[in-house]
Amino acid sequence: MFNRLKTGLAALTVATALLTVSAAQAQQNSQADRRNNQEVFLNMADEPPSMDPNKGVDAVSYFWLGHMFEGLMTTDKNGNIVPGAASHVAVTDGGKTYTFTIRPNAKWHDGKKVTAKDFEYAFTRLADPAFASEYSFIAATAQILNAAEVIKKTKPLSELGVKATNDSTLVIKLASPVAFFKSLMSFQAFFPVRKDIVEKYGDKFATSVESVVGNGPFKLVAWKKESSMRMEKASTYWNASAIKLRAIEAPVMLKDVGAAFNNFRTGGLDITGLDKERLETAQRERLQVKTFADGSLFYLEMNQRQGKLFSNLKLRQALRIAINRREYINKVSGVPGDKPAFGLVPDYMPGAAKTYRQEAKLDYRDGDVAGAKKLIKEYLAETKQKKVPSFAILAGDSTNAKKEAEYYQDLLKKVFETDVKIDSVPFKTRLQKQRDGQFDLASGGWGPDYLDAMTFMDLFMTTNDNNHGGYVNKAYDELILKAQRTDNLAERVKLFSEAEKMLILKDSGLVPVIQRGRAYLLADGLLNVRRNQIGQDPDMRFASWRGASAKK
Amino acid sequence: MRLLRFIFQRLLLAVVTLLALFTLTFFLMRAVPGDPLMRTKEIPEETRKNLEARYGLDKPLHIQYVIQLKQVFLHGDFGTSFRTVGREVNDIIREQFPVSASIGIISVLIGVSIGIVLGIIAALNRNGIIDRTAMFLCVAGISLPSFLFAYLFQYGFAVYPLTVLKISPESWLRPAGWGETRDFVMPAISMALGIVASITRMLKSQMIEVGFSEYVKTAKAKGVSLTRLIVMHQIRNAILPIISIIFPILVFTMSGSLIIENIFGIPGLGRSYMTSIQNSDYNVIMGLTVFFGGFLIVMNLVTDILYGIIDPRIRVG
Repeated sequence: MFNRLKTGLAALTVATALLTVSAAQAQQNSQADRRNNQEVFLNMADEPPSMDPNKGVDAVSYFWLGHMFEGLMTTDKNGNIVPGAASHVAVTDGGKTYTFTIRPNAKWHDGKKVTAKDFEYAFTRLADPAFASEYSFIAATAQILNAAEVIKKTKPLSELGVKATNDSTLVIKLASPVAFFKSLMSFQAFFPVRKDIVEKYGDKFATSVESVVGNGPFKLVAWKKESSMRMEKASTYWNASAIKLRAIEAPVMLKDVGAAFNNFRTGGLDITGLDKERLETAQRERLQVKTFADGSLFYLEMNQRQGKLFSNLKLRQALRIAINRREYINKVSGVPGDKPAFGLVPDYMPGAAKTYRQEAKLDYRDGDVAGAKKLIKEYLAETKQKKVPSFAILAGDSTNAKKEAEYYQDLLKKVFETDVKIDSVPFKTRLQKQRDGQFDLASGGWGPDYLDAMTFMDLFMTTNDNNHGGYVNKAYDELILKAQRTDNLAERVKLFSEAEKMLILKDSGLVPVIQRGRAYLLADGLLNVRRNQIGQDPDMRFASWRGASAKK
Repeated sequence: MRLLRFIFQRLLLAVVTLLALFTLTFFLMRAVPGDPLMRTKEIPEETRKNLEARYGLDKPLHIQYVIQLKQVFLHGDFGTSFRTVGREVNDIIREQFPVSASIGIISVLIGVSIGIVLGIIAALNRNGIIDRTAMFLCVAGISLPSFLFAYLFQYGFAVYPLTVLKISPESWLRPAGWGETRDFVMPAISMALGIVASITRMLKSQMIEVGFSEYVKTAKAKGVSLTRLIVMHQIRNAILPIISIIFPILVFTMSGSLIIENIFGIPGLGRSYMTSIQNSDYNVIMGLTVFFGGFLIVMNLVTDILYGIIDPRIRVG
């Protein structure tokens, strides 16, 4: 009997081996080959939801689009805003008119010239209510004349303040000056789009290699749905000599971090995300671990609507100072690269001359349980209660969300000396409850839409849909509106700083907790990979392998 | 003739079942909190309205129901995904089902063949060392989660050989990927394990049960040779119930496993189904649900017909 089993197993082994050997003929790019060929393999967790620049709203789509297209402005290898498809920009009319001159040698991947009309078409399409781009609001944020009205359908599309006066001149009129307008012009939503391609493919535009034509440094050459994608350096790109990589490929689309990690270990990937569970293994195997701020800031939202427990200022203050942000990072998130957040604006945001945070310091003592208890005592005395009423933490149902909620629960039970419950629900239910104001405390977060403090600061205006806690302060709104109307950078930093102190120190309108960091693995010798908070991330445009032979 | 009438009745019933499935899915997914336009970041009100108009979500529910009903049952068109712009649900099924199905079929072939052999050996070797080992492995195969095996295989078959033994990656299995013959190996084996476990256990108990039956005793008394007794009397009868579970297993594995697909990077239907649910992607959820429903119904019908062919006692009519 044993023998028969053994024979069976042997047969199976042989079969497996045969199958494996048959695969041997299949071409596979080893990491060494990639080094020599200046090619990079990376993991993208998902199929890109949209390769239409006017529609994409997610990080995966941005990654591809940011390499395949280029806006009027772009970023250099240090992240500075520099001219892209436009070679020159003139700002007149007190910052309310931008005249862009398109580069004569800016070309689409099929060899056609990039014209001002391509931009006019794209911008108009972005704002078109019939097209209904989820990102249309950014045209209003950019203060493009009549954009807000066009989106609301109170003005016709033809009145949008974007006009191509000839093939190489694009004139954009603004309703009011915008300090970060040039930076906005480097983002995906403002990439040019080819009208003839859109009309040729209709609803199928940008759903395959043929139906998407870009003007950026890389050209899409292969796209297997839910499986793999590949871009190659575009010879048509005006600045092609600055691009070292020959190809960027996602050979797999792995949602599973562990699987991607295993792929990296075997040389199947050159860059991939790392979670804290695998951090130790990565370090033990001496893999190159790096960290970066992914741009998001996380905070506790307190429901401040009338009748809700956290409408009380003292309780909100107690909460803000009781949380120990470093302890939270050690105990809950555990990701190297996470940083405590005391204010609403993350550290990387630019200010007038330096970063905003360097120019507008905001600091307070946290982990101050004694101070918090004192405030709670005052609250109890004022409201003539013996005990703080019990409250609940609204949380998602993922492992991390539960762990986070449990940490808060333990801490707050001690501080508030009352019963703290956890309301753990599926992701979309949590969003719905936050939107409807059916919660006491909830974890919230925000990732920037553009590289300016405004993308965070306008969140807590009375009318903002994302102001889930219902923070209302007319003076705050006034300061933000003032900042929206000026393009004086120093003045804006002052206004934001005042507003931020009002929101956090005076009103305790929210409790900032962390600026999220991410760890990732990078193959040795892969240089100049830039990690971005907005736009394409990782930015591989200027990356290259060290010491790769320059053979063709 | 009888068989034809049987098939016709069953197909009629299938349409009714699918209609019910469609209706239930339609209203249940809309009853769940969240909709396709719900994001972590709120979509501004005006844009939301424009989007709803574009997708027809602004129409009253019963109108939406009728529109989609017509689309699906008259034109066989499930529409496009809300999440992946321009991606037609029919294309998702057409392109991704064959992937899940091929892995499913291979793993069922492997799983059933090994399971049958192991089950017979275990039954004949009752309480012996092979039986005990096999049963231990079966319990492990059924109770341990498949991602654990998937990770173990990924490490044992790819990471270890490639990084520690330094086998050249060109001539060996890769941890994840799709498009080459070798990419079938690990996912198929991972999925086959559970099948081996259930088939082995079931066949073993059937074999033992049949062993006690009157006809086996009679055959023994008649002096039938041991081989003939085992093959013609015991195995033949014990294997029957296996057929009834093979098809449900086949349907299940061919539908694709989210975990296996995620770990091995396979563009199958399992991950699309999960993504669609997470994103309340109505059209994709509907398309895949109705497709799987129809597939299950067809496979059940095939099982019933095959069953009659193998066992005349339960022939239809």
